[in-house]
Amino acid sequence: MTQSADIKQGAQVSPIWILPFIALFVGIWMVYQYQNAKGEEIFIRMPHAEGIITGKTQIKVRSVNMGLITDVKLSDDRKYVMARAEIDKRYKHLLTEDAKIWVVKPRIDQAGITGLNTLLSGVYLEFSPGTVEDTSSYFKLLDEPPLIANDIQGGRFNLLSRDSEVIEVGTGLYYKGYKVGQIETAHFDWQEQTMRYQIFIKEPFQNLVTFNTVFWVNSGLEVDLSADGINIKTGSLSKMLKGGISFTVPEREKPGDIVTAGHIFSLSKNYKKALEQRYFLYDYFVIQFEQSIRGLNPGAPVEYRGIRIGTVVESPAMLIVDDKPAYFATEDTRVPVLIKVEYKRIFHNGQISKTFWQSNLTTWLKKGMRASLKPGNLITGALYVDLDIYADAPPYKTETIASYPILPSISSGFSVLTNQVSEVLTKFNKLNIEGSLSQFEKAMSEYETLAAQVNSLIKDNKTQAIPENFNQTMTQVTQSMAQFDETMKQFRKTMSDYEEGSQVYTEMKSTMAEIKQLSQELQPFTKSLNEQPDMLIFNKDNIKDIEPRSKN
Amino acid sequence: MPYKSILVFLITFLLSACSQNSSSNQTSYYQFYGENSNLEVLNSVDKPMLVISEVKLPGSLNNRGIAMRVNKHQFQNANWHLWSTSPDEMLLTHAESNLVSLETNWLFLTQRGPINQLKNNVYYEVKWHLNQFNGGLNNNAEISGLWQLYRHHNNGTISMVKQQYFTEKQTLKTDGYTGLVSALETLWMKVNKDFILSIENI
Repeated sequence: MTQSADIKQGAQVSPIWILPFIALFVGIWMVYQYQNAKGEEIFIRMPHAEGIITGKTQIKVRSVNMGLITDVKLSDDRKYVMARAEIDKRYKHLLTEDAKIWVVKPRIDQAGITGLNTLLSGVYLEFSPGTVEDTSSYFKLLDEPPLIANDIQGGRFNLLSRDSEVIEVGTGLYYKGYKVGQIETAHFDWQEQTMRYQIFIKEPFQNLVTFNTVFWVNSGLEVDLSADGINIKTGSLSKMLKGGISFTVPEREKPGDIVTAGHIFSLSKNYKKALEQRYFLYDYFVIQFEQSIRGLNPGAPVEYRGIRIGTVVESPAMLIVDDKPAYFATEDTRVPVLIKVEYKRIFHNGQISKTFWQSNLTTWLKKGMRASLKPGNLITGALYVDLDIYADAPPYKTETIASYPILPSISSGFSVLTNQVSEVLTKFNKLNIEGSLSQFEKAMSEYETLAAQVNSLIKDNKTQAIPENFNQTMTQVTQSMAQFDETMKQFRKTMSDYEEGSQVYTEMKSTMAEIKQLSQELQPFTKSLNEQPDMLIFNKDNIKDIEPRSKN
Repeated sequence: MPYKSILVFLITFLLSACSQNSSSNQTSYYQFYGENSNLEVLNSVDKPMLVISEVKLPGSLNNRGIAMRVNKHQFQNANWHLWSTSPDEMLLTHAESNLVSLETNWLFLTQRGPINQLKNNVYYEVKWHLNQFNGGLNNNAEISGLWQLYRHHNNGTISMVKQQYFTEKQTLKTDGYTGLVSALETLWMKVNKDFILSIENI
């Protein structure tokens, strides 16, 4: 009998295989957990890694820790340092493309002393998130902390300056003395020889910047020495120390529309220059003076009876007529000066003013309006051009030089004075000196008679009585002197208390001697203390004195 | 509680150990002996008067620690051997008593008391300036300096009569600071004697 084997198919997978699967699952789970908890990795490019310590230097946003520097390595070309940092996943959305990052360390700048707490804790990186939505994992470390945080609202504008001195980044912007913003960036455009500043004005003050706004450098202390005299202006102490830029809309000027961000303004050296820039509606004239123009400088005022109407542009005017300099002695010996009549100075509406000037100028000149040089400042000798009506002026005829209309002039100032002195001397020559001398002799003889009369008056008995009154006065003086003498005696007595030999003197002397003695008593102590400062706490060291020895 | 007592004992023991002075040195004070006792000075307008106005010692020589020369240019003041009073005061006092004992025909005064109001016929003043008053290098004591004698005239003017430089040295007879102080006292007496001889010849 044959028995057939009953072959059973065993389990295809041994249950033992569960273990590796569990291990694999746990491993994957751990990797997932690790990756999940790892955080976002970013790279920061920095010029050097001074103070940055791997695993210790933190990255903070508003002093809240958001990450840690995990690695610092030198770039392949050794020109910069690349730091790797791990950012907490919760702050992943803050890693915007326009975010700023900088090192916080002790600094002394315009904002004062900052970052002192990092002296002990070490430096950290401050992260300022931006506003755009796109995120980035690559950042560049800023050299300096940004002046304006990203979340501060306001407007950014540009200033161009050709003549003012360089102003530092961070310098304040003032509107009527109130700080409303500051300079963000400053760079020199070497091609245009111009300083370009970007300024930031905080909200809502950016609305103060309109089309007619003027900007000028407020140096704190302005000294203006010109034909108008000496003008000194000072600001607040902080402004005097730091300086600043001021802006305003000039008086009687309409503000105009609020400008959009990025508008370019001109930055003037001072307020006066800023105002002058507005007088863009003007015409040039040449005035020829038959006298020295020493003291007449470009920028000097042109006035009509004290009302400023223009400015001297060139003194002398560098005009070339027929290839000859018109300002140097040629056939015409007069010295030309170029001026501009700025119409907005006459009336704030430039066009009306221009029409008025142009339509009336000929009439005025025919009536005798002439230009002359007048001293504006006696100390500096600065001159200005004055227009006035002179009824006796020589007749006017229309002239031009190098296409500039000529305003007629008359001599004034020193030349006029010279003429007047000459006239006075002529008159003096005409005086009858001889006749005056005989009159003088006559007067002298009268004085002699008067002297004789005074002499007889003195000898008169009544006059002799006067000394009695005089004696009385003298008695009073003597009494006063006696009182003074008494006072002096009292003073001497008081002083004698302090004289040598007096009790006070002796006491003072003995006190001084005691002080001297005390100081000498303290000599060994101070010497020991000097040699061993801790002798008050510990024992005095057993320093042996040198022992004097006899020869025996 | 027994442990409390032990703790108190331990603290007391530690504190007492800290406060114990382990220094073996003791400070000694010295001064000139001055044998001239029982001296009597009577004021008289007939006697020439001499006021010892000052004895000056520069810098560390006037220190309370007795000065010893270490080398040609260096001094050291003792830490444990001190003058009982400042050297200039001591020298002034002893100059006065020395002079009084040496010369009775003069009236010697210092400026410590009220000034003598009597107008003596002859009125002198002396100033001492010492630049050595210390133990020397060759087992000796050194004293050197100068004195300046001034005459006060009746019209209030002052004129210098004489200026004398002196340098004296004396070998110590006994060891230690006592020997040095003794030698210095002898030298000071000698200098005073020489001064008396000088003014007697004026």
